[in-house]
Amino acid sequence: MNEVLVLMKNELALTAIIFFLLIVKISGGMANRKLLPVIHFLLLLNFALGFFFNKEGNLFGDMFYTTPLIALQKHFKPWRLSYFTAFLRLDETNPAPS
Amino acid sequence: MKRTPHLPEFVTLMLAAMLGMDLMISSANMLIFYLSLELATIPVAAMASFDLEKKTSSEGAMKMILSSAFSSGILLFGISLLYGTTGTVNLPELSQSLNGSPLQIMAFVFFFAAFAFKLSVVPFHLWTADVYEGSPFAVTAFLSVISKGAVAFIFITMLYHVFQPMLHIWYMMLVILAVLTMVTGNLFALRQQNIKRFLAFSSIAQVGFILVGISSYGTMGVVSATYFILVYIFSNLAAFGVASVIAEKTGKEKIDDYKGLYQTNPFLTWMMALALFSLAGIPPTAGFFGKLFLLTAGASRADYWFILIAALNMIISLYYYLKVVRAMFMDKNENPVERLHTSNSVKLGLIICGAGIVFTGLFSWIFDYIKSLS
Amino acid sequence: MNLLFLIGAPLLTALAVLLARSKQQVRWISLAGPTVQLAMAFALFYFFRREKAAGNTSQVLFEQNHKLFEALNINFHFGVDGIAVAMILLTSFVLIAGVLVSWNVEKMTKEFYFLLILLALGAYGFFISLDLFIMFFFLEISVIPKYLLIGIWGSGKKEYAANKLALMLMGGSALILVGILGLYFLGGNSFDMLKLAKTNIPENLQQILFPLLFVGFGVFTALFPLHTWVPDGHSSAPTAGSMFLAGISMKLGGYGALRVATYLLPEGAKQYADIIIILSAIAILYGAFATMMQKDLKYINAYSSVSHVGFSLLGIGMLTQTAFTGALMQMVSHGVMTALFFAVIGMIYDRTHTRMVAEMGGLMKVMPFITTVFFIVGLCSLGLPGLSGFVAEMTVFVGSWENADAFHRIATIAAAMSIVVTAVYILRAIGRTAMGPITNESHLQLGDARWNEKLAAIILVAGILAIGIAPGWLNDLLQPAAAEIMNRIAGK
Repeated sequence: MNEVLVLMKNELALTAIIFFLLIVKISGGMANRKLLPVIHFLLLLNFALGFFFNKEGNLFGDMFYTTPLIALQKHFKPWRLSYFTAFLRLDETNPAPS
Repeated sequence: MKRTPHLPEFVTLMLAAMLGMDLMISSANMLIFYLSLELATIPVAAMASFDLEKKTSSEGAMKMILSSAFSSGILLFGISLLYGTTGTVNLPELSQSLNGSPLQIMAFVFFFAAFAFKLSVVPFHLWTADVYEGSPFAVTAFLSVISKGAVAFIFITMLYHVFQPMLHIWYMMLVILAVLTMVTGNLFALRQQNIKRFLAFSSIAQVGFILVGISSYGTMGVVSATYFILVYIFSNLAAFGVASVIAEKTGKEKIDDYKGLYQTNPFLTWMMALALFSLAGIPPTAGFFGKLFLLTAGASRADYWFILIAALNMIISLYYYLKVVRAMFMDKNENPVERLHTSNSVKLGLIICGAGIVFTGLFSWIFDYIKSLS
Repeated sequence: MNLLFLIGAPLLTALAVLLARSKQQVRWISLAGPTVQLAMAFALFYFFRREKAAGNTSQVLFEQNHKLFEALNINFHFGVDGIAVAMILLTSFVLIAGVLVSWNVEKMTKEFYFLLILLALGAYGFFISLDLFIMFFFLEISVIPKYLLIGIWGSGKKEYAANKLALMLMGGSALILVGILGLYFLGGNSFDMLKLAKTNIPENLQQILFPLLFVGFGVFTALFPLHTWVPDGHSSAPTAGSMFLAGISMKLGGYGALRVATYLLPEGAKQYADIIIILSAIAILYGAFATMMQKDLKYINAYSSVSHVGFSLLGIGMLTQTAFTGALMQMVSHGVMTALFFAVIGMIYDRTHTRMVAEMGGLMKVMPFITTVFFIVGLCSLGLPGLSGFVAEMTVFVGSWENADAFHRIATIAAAMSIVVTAVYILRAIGRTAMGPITNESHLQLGDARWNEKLAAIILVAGILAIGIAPGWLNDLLQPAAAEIMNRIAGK
């Protein structure tokens, strides 16, 4: 179980944020002005997480595997970072479907 | 986005797509791979239609869902053929039981075509420009950078580790498709007037360069492609960021509208110029190193004609990137974009991208670090 | 002496310019920076000579090796030989003169100086690097500043010229890139020039790589059919831009053609030497005759640059030690001379607002200082003994004459004929503009050079005289390096 937590940390963290957002939505929602900083913060945490616990290993009978390079490709490098920066702009850039 | 009531949904969709990409890169099983690929695609199509007021947005989403469904079908067909000939869907076992029989080659071609769709490699690129143009900027940036990067990574893994017995076949395919992609992307980008379509075609050309690097088959291939995609993310996000600020505030998306931008918005102009230079591969930006390392990787197979074509394509691409630079710095305009107030978060985002563009190249340990991991 | 200062100083200057608040501050900072660089270039020259006098015979001095991109074996490998020292001196001369003559630029002053200093940074870096990758990096750095300088501050068909220049130079770079990558894999994954000089590259591959590298660098230095960016680019650029383009940027190509293409691929050079000679002889004659037809002062100098730079390529094609020395001397001499020429043209244009020879006349009466300098540089261009042009061209001819066969003799004679043509167009241009009565009444109110322009002109004239009267120091710098290249060609 512990191994699952470590090797799938990216995926689990993302799932946690998704659930958080679902709960927010179900429980009546939050003003975007307040919600955005929270999302940024969670993504930043997620980004920071990518610096730690990058191990090699596989799970579920070889259906899922990860190596430091894959962890890097998944995490630190590409999307979390860019995503975080993209998100900083979201409030400005996305047209509002009213 | 501050005004939309659907922020949680939008973010959820984006995160779901990212979850799909993460799983996709990690998958060591064809079925997991297929599932996660779908997870990475379908939310993006929903995001593409998020701009409910614009017809083009829904049109783009429709095109995207149709073309990706088509490519998924092809992919699934390829997988089933592979399963039929080898009797397994686990990647490590697959690579051992491949022997290059005609049926397997056919399966591989289907497989390749599906990837080409996702990466918008010519001749499977036709959906790209329309989808990019119609979608909201945030989604376009996501599509062109993030999802492409993820697919490129799993593509490399598949080619290097699974289809390694068919090296001579996929090498030729890659060379031909890389040349086609670079040339077509560049030639179409020459004629674009809309900044989104322009960036769409330029991103097709960039994928051609990534294919050059991938064709090397070796650690350099993986490393240079990973590095290039990192650099590309910074550059492309900066370009999309500036374009989206301008489009959001003034509704202007034409390259002609950028004329005289430097007089009114020097900060945005420099950021855009930096991003475009990086995309064109001009030092001291990181794009220069990224492109050069891709070409170095490609040159290790000693196909100098191939590298020469790639290098000459850099000239064409420089021409159209300079077109935008010229419009911003040199051309005069009666009514340029007015002085825009950019919020601090936008500035921070752009500065992070700008710093990434400059320092990813000059800090050479980043490249060495990637190399040490592989 | 630490060579990193040569990169650090322009970098710091450029950053300081960006941080400056007023236009006046920008000007003084960008004067101070190049002054320091000039002092450093002199210091380098002094230390280099002292080391050599002390009997240090190693090929490059002040070597430094810093690891960069370890995975690809790319290193910040620096070091200078005599050629590099001469070129660095040239660069610092032209840079300070360029800053001085553009003292009155009012449009986007900060950006102008920033780009100008960035250009110099690229040139310094190019000349001191011994690693081909880093060399290429610095070569490419200068493309965009050139584009923006011409496009924003230029005149005439500036956007067309800027585009043409950027694309042609990028095309040259593309060829160089392929050549360098070929060398990298043939030399056992190394970009190091000193190491590559010791590896034996198969002859059939040299035949493929040499044209790539030579033509690539040739685009930068106006190799005959690829010279077309030169007239447009030079004539549209702002004064300091043309000075830098003709004075330094074209020399980057010449230096690369000799130091990279010819030195590393001697067999290839032997194979293609005849073609180089034919092309450069055509360039010399074509440039000279084309200049005869020009009516615009800047075009006159641009075409005459094609002709003069042809001499350095001719010297390279001749493959003798004296000819190499002459080629290098011609690069330095032409760099100073053409920079001064463009500076003078810029000064005249600032006052008369025309560059057409026909619209001027009798300027001697209103601006004696400027016209005197104009005379000096004109005489230098046509090869008057005592000025730098004579020394350089003479050395090239002497070196060429060492080849005894008819082909080389004919090419040399043909090239030498161009000197007559040069005399015709230079004397005609100077005579029409400077002598006779003042044709345009409004020119009577014009003033002479201001302090900054006088200083720039004096600095460059000093350079011309230093080479022309006492060429020994330059010869001492260039001769051993040329001998080293020649040794490699002779296969020793």
